[in-house]
Amino acid sequence: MKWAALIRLYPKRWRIRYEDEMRALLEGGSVSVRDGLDLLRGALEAHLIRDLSAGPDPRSQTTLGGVMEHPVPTKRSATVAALFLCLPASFLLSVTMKYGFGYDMAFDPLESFWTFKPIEYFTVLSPLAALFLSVAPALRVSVARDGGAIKGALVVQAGAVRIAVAAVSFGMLLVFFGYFLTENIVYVRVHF
Amino acid sequence: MPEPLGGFGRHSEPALLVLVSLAERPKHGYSMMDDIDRLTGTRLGPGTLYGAIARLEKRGFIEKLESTDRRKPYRLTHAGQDALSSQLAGLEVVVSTGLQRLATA
Repeated sequence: MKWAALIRLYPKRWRIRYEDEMRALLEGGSVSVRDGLDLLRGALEAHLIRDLSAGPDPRSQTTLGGVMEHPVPTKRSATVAALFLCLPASFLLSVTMKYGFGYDMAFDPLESFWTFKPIEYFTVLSPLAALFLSVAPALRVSVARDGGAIKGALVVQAGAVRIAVAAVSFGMLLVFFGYFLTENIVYVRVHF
Repeated sequence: MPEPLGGFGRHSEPALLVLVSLAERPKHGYSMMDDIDRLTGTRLGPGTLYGAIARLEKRGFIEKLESTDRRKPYRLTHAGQDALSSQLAGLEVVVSTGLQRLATA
């Protein structure tokens, strides 16, 4: 097996920076199964820790104490999160148009919603996924031991897009939760 | 004072070995691997080596030198020299204390 092929498993940004020299390294000597497994582990790590693939960060300030300012996360996860909101947004829009303004739709969104097809579950769960995707990359948790005490810090670094997506996701979750309460608790108590 | 490589967690050992290797002169990946093998008897895997290189480069402790060769050499930066000195000084205290305690045990 050509172990160098495993380099293809690394993220693209990593390969742009290190692929040539890694290939040269692997071609320069014998590569064992252990090396192959090491490459697999390295590829997984490079995917999980995205900052690793980016090379030196001019925004990072390194000090003797080893303290590094974390770079602001890229907008990619916020964009993916925004895409997750398209389906629930279209659902809420169609419900508002039909039941709020009386514009008859080609289908009844609530009827179709309660047919319990996978896409309906996705509609409800996707704002939750969008909220996670928009918030999680912006959070940095650090725990350090300072003498005898353990100090923890939570830092949020988010741009306008990320905050907007998180706010819309949260709003949609509230709407769905409100709908759930109205339909299953309030309506049942009033009518039964 | 926090250790300079403290933020590297379980990756601090390969990172330290790379810094020690580059303290001699600029080296490319294969030379570093050979040097570390000679020094410690441990051969770093290619994934571990480049993980350490990426971390150190990210922190500004090492930098890539221009080269027409596919094998790119790296060298220590001033921040890397300071970090290595500080890290080794910390280890020296541990080593000397350990040896002292063993001698009096």
